[in-house]
Order: sequence, then structure tokens, then C-alpha cells
Amino acid sequence: MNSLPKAASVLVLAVLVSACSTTHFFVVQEPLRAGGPERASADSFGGAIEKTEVLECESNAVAEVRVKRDFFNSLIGAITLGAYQSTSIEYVCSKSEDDEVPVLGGSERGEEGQDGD
Amino acid sequence: MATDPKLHRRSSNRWQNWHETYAVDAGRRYELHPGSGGLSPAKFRKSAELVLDLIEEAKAEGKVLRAVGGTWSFSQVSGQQDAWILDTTYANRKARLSAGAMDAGFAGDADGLLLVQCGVSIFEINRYLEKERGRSLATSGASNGQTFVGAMSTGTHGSAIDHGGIQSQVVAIQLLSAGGQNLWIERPSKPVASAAFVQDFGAELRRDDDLFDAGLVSLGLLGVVHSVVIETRPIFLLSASQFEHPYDDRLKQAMRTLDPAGIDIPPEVQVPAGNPRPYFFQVVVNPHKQDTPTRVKLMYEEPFPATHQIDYRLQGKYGAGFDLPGLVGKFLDAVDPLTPLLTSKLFDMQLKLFANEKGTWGETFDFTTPRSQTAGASLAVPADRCIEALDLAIEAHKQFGPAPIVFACRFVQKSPGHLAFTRFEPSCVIDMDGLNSMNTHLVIERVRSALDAAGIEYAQHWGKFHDLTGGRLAASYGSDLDRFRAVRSALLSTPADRQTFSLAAQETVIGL
Ligand SMILES: Cc1cc2nc3c(=O)[nH]c(=O)nc-3n(C[C@H](O)[C@H](O)[C@H](O)COP(=O)(O)OP(=O)(O)OC[C@H]3O[C@@H](n4cnc5c(N)ncnc54)[C@H](O)[C@@H]3O)c2cc1C
Repeated sequence: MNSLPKAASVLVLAVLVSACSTTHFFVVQEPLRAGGPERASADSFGGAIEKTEVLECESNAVAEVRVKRDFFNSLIGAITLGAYQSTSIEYVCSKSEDDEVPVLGGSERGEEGQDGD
Repeated sequence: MATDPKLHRRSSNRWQNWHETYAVDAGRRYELHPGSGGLSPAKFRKSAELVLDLIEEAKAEGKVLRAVGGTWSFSQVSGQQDAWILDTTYANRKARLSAGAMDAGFAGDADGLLLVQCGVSIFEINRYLEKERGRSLATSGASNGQTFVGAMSTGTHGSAIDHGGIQSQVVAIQLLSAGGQNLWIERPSKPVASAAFVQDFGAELRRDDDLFDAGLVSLGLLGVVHSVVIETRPIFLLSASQFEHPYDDRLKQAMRTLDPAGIDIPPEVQVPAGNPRPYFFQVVVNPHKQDTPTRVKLMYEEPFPATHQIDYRLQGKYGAGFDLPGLVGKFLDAVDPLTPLLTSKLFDMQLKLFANEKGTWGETFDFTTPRSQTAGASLAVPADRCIEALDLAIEAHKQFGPAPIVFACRFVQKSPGHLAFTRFEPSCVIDMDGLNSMNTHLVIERVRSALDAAGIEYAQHWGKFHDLTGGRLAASYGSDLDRFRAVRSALLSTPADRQTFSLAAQETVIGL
């Protein structure tokens, strides 16, 4: 059964890789997600340099943020004694809500029609 | 201050679908924004003009234009390499139609109609209908992240046994296509909007069954669907239970006939006395252990009690990691002896037993936590051949597996639309859901080959993994495929028009 050593090595690798990777989802209670997840880099140099990154959300609102650190991010952080931190961040923009849901086509049922321009 | 609709061009051209099964470098990426303030005919005209201009610009530059919704399709039917991708999700305006908007021949209840723009998601519809209108969708898929238009464009279905796919709720389609065409399409037998109303939207009224049936499930191959009008129903509650049942003759008969009256329903499940026919019926089979009982899910319709508090809010929790399915899938490719054990564990974890859980349609089919690298394929077969097909699937898995996959059978009535894959009267849909691994794809293909060899008619879900060869497509859709092609040729009369709304993955197989 030569699949057993293979199994053991893959298992060890999988445990290593997955144990050192974390994902955090930050999501609003009732998300109105628009578009897909977009990537934003979040590399930092021990707090010496601060970078403000503007997220491209035309609606000015974010529905969800995913923070991912994988095995390699963690390794680089450890090798540089924490001076260089790399995290992968993805965000999902939020759409805006309908201000109102109009009734179009006149007001036959006594409701306020909003069919004008 | 109210703002006008606009197109926003994104700075990055990198695009990937929601479940990360593929990514492309688009030629350009645009978003359609509805502007602030409620929907008005003037805003709708403006929004349509923006899209029509974009269509002409793409055509002039020899580019393909792909409209995308929630990007929940696993298969490569939405984004495309080098294409201009139009993200419709922001365009989420809704409107009700008054009796004054109706055609004289309209026979239904105008109060039950809802106009939804292309970006409105299933969740937004559920929340608005259930919380503000005391109404509900009659059917949808199993969760709520798709746009209604994106979902109908691939023929998304649930397992509401007396309903068709999601598109069966559509009564009018506003389609924007090449050459400035802004069409409002209805069935001649079911007129909805008055000519004046349609004109106010800057559209041309077309009552044409062929065009309507092509527009219902169109994969973006006809143009951009800018809005649809859907029929809704009064709000109701579902009482859901999931229990174990052997894969025996009684269950098999229920699956062939969509009538679970004869199966062993546990005594704790409350079956409504006056209406024992369930609204929803689903059977999930674990192909890894022949003796494992199936999981049967039944949902019964109940009146909506005034005391019920509708709550869709997500709760914070720990769960399997985002990348875990992909990782485990690859792991199991390498070490397949562990597949039965792990899949059976997942089967038990994911399909918990419960009884009489109450919720509205929107509460029951709610948010799904996104996972990368999950895989799904679905085949619709005539319900009376459901068991033959499922047994072939189980056998294919036995021979060519193991794969981290389970088989779920869902049931729907024949659905409208030339390219609706739930095309049988009624249909049994065999969902093959699992982790995205080589073995999963191998087994899925072997199941298709087994059905081909047994001469069982089937059609594949456009939005899930499929492998449509020209032969398979013609066998599945027959003359309906010719009808779809004819509508497309008439609508998109020049090669440049057709190129603008083409889909590379489908090009060779559909011959469009
Ligand atoms: C977690 C999950 C659960 C699912 N559950 C189910 C289920 O229960 N039942 C089921 O049947 N399927 C299910 N699916 C499949 C899914 O419902 C379909 O693939 C659906 O089409 C996705 O809708 P979308 O809004 O994400 O559209 P997309 O995937 O973005 O697009 C789908 C198609 O519609 C076209 N399109 C989108 N918007 C427009 C427009 N405005 N004009 C013209 N064309 C347009 C696109 O070009 C594409 O061809 C599921 C998928 C996932 C990931």
C-alpha cells in the first residue's frame, strides 16, 4: 500500500498549511452584497509606514470584509520577527437601499402614483 | 439631492466568480448604478440608454459584453476573458404597478406584481415582499445571493414540487439589445402592461411567445435584461423537517411520482390535516455507504401567523474555513481511501435531523456562507426515470469513485423557457454536490456517460459544472434549441451583433 506514506505526507502538509491559515469574515447582519470580492493589499512594515487604501465602492458602503492569513504570510512574519506582516484582505461593496418603492402607472387604487418624470 | 443612474468603470480588470471556480482578465469592468431616489420612468429610461450606448461601444470595438449578476454560477457562463463585464448588482430598484399601468386584457391581480431591476437579489425580493407587502416568492433556489435575473438566466430551480423553475414567475421582460433595441416582452396569452406604460419606459412592446421563451433563460446571449415583472403570492410559512428514510420501494415510488404520501413520515413531523401534500420534497443520498439511510426533507405550507417575527439576520459563528473545501478536495484526490469516511462525516454534519422548523420562504432559503472550490453539477431527467438515473449515478460512483460527492434529488414541474433545463413534465433534478476535486469531476462525467448509454433523456444546469457537447445539447433541447437560435438570429441580425452577445464556452457547442 504505497498510498499510506503519501497519505501521511499529504496529511501533515494539509495540517501545517491549514493550521496556519485563518479567515475572518466581517459581515453586516443583512448584507446587500454588490459585485464580487475585490482584493486590497494589506502589507505592513512594523507600524513604521501607514498606508491608507481607499476601497473602490461607489456606494460608499461595504457589506463584507474577509481577512486571510495563510501559512506563507505567517512564515514571512515569523522570519522578519514581525517587522513585515502580510495579510490578504478582500472586501465586498454594499449597494444602497431603495429610498422608496413607488407605485407606477397612476393611482387607481387610491395610492400615490409616481409615474411622472 | 437625487442623482441619476450612471456607469462606473472599475480600475481593476481582474474578475472572479463568487465561489472562485474561475477568474479572468476582463477587457473592461463596468457597474450599473441606479442613482439615488426611487425608481421613475425617467430614471429607467436613462439607465437603459447608458446600457444601450455601452452595447454599441462594445460592438464598435469588437468586444463581447457580458452582463453578470451575483456571479454564483460555477460554470463559465458569466465573466469571460477580454470581454467587457457589466456588473448589474447595484441596479436594484423595484416598483409596484398600479391597475392604471395594466393592459385591458390583464387578468391577474396587479397588486401581486413587482417590477425588479436586473440587480435585485433574491434576498432583497424576499425581504421587501415578506416584511413590507405580506407577500412571497412561490419558489427560488436554495439560497438568496443570486440576482433574480441572473438566476432565471440559467433556469435556477428549487424543490417546490408544484412549481417550475424561478423563471416561471416572470410575466414581462425588458431586454436591451444591439442596435438600440429596448424591448418589453410579454406573452400574447398573458398581456400585462399597457402600451402607454411601456412607452413611458422608452421600450417597444412585443407580445411574442418565442421571444418570451428565449428571454426567460438566455445566459446573456440575447442582450442585457434590464428588468422583469414577476408575479408573487400571499405570504405563507413553511414547516420543515428532515429525517432518515431507507432507500426503499416506497421512497422510490414517491420520487417517481412527486408524491411522498406513502413514505414513513416520523410521528413527530406535523402533517397538516387538511393539506397533506408537501410544498417541498427533497431526498439526499450518500453514495459512499449503500446502507446509510437517505435524508428526506419535507416542507408543508401553513398560514402566516401575525405573531411570527421575520428575522434574516446573520449570526456570528465558527465554521469550516473558506478555503477548506478546496483543500480537502485536493487532499482526497491524493488519498482517496479516506473519501468515504470524510464524505459520510460531512453528510451527517451538513444534513442534521430536525422537525417542524417554521420560517417564511426567505427565512428558510437564506444566506449561505461562501466557500471557495465547492463543485456542483445538476442533471434534470423525467421524474418517472429518476430512480433509474439515480441508480446509474450511484453505480458510476461505485465504479469510478470514490469522490467527495453526494446526490440530492429535487423535483420541479416543467419550466418555461426554450433553454430551461428542467424541461420534463415533471422533472427530477439530480444534484451532484461536492468538493471541487478531480475525482468529483470524473464521477460527474461518468454519470453523464452512463445516462447517455442508457438512453435516458437529460438536460444539464447551465450555471453549474456541465460538459455540453454539441450532441448532448441537441439531444437535450431538440427543436427548442433551434427556436432559441432562430430568435437570436432575428434579434441580432449581423455577425457583429451576435459577437457582442456571445459566450466563448458556449460558442462551439451551441453553434451560436
Ligand atoms: C451556493 C450556491 C447555491 C446554489 N443553489 C442553487 C439552487 O438551489 N438551484 C439552482 O438551480 N441553482 C443553484 N445555484 C446555481 C445558481 O443559482 C445559478 O448559477 C444562477 O444563475 C446564479 O445567478 P447569479 O445572479 O449569480 O448570476 P451569474 O452567475 O452572474 O450569471 C448567470 C447567467 O446570467 C447571465 N446574466 C446575469 N445577469 C444578466 C442580465 N442582467 N442580463 C442578461 N444576462 C444576465 C450571465 O451572463 C450568466 O450567463 C447555486 C449556486 C451556488 C453558488
